[in-house]
Amino acid sequence: MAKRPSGKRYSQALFELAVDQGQPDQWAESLKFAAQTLDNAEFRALLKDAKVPSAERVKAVTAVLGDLPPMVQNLVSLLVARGLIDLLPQVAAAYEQLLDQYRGRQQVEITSAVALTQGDRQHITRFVGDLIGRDVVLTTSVDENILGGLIIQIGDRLLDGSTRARLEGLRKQLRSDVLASAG
Amino acid sequence: MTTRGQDIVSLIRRQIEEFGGELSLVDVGTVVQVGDGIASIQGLQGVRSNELLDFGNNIMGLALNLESDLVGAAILGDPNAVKEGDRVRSTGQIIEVPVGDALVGRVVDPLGRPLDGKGPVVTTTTHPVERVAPNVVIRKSVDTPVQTGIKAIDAMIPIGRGQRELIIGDRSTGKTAIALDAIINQKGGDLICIYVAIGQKQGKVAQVVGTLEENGAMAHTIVVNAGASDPAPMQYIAPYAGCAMAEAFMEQGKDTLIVYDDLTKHAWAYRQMSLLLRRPAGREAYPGDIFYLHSRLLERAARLDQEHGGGSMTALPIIETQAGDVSAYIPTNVISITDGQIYLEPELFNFGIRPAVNVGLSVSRVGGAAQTRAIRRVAGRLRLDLAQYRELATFAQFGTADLDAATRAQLARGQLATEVLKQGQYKPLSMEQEVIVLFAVNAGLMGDIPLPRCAAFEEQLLRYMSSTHPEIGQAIAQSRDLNQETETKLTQAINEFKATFATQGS
Repeated sequence: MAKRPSGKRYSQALFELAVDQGQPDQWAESLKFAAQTLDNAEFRALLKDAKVPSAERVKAVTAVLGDLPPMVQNLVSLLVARGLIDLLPQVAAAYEQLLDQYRGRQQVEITSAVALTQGDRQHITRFVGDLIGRDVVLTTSVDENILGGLIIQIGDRLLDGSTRARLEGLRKQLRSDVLASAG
Repeated sequence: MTTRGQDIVSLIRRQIEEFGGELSLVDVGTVVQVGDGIASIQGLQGVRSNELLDFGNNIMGLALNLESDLVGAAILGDPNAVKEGDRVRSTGQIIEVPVGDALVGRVVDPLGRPLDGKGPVVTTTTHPVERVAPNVVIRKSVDTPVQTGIKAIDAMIPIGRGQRELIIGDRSTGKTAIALDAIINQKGGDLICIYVAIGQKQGKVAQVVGTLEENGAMAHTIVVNAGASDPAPMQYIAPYAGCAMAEAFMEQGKDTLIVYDDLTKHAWAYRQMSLLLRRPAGREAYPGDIFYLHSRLLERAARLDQEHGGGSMTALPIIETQAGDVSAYIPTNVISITDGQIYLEPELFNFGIRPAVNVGLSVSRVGGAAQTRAIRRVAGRLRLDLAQYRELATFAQFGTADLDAATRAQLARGQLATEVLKQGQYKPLSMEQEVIVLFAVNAGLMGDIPLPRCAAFEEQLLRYMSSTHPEIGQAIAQSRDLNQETETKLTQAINEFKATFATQGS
């Protein structure tokens, strides 16, 4: 596949700078804020418009993001100047991951059929924390379609303990067993 | 019916008792881009090359490109059902197909799912689609023939079990017909045949299956079909899937024959996938590994030694050329991989010489060792006769009156040989029938038969031999040789028949 510029490299560079300056957590917030602010199709179109001189475009960004730490502003300006502003959400996400790694944390998403109580959440946090040996940052969502049980997503890995998945498994197993017995 | 019901009830009971067993961690990813049957997926960190991916809704995919941030996957199924943002799960399963006896007589797709409406394929064994070819230590050289039932091929371009013989020619020169004749001729024999249709018109595949059924050849045949309307990844895996099915039989010590119809379209499908996966394009826009694509497939054809069961897989790949251009990229590749080729020419075909085999350009590099002694004895001079005839034929166009007697005799022999090697479609001959006809030519017993009556002579001779002198045919079939005694008897019998044939004719 053709090489596309990856947000990872930019976030890595910014993160190293942040660690050097001792402000990785604040910059994460700023970066998230910048990504949210620029999440506007018209504004992004302006920032990619070749007819507008790049100095003007950079000026527009600094006007909007004036309150952010200078290095974060510089990163956004760099992306704008290179026409890579679409990478910003990726950079922010990758930065978040780097920060989690640095702090020994892991984002974990829990999907359940009913809303979880505080006690449940603590219980799950402890359980998953023991499982992966890292601090767990829990986000939860409710999806009635899974019928029951829990789906735990740890980064790129998924632990599917939902009733729906088990019923699917049962269906598959039954079908192949019935077939085998019929043969 | 009640017992059946009871069975199912007990099954469900067991299932309920064991319900909700252990859980396992799976890798997941998100589709970031999808188009032309190719999906780019973010995540899927632990995925392996050629692993099956689950896109949900019963759609599977094949992980092909593993990059630092993304995984490029081919979608095996309806590509329009996959959207950006869909979650993809890895299955931990390298792509596999069901194998075994249950497949014989069936028409299946490259994943082993039935296409013939005859119910599910019930088999518990599966084999990975991609496998490393048997190594040199467990192989044996080719020594047993595959009788195709086609005189021209069995006599001059013999194919041995475990050989790879390419069938090459322009469109509609009878490439598929040769492969089908070879399959039909295995009726009642011990060869299991697999016909892999790659990128063919569905109508043509239906016709092929119909022909095989009509001739009672489906009983020993599996048809693997990835049609022209199937996605390119399906066409890409089809020959490997068919090969895996044949391999399973080979490992059981059985002999198999596999036809890949055709590898040109296979290369096209792979080119499409590679370009969409943005792999660098090379000559004729094929990717760099196009040679390996076919060499690793054809290398899996083998003859195993006795210690490993003695099974074999004979491969008959088919290549379609454009305007007879055998020096194009794919034809030269496959010619260099295979152990010989059967070259079909449109000129011969239009001339009425069918099968339209160009004897000069066709070779079999290893099959000679496998030829039955009986056929070798009668076919020895045929090739030479034909080669000399072709040289003289150009002169003969200007009239034969001025030529000396020896040249005229040579011309006559060549014409006779060409005439005798013509053969109708779906009319394969048994080994002893081939021997009888070729003996008649070789011994000069057919020299006085006018050319237009050759076909009738041959047909009636074979009928006469089987009704009046069946013992001669049996002797040849049993000994697989032609000894002095049988030869004398055969000459006598043919002369007897000629007497009756001459009177019929006049």
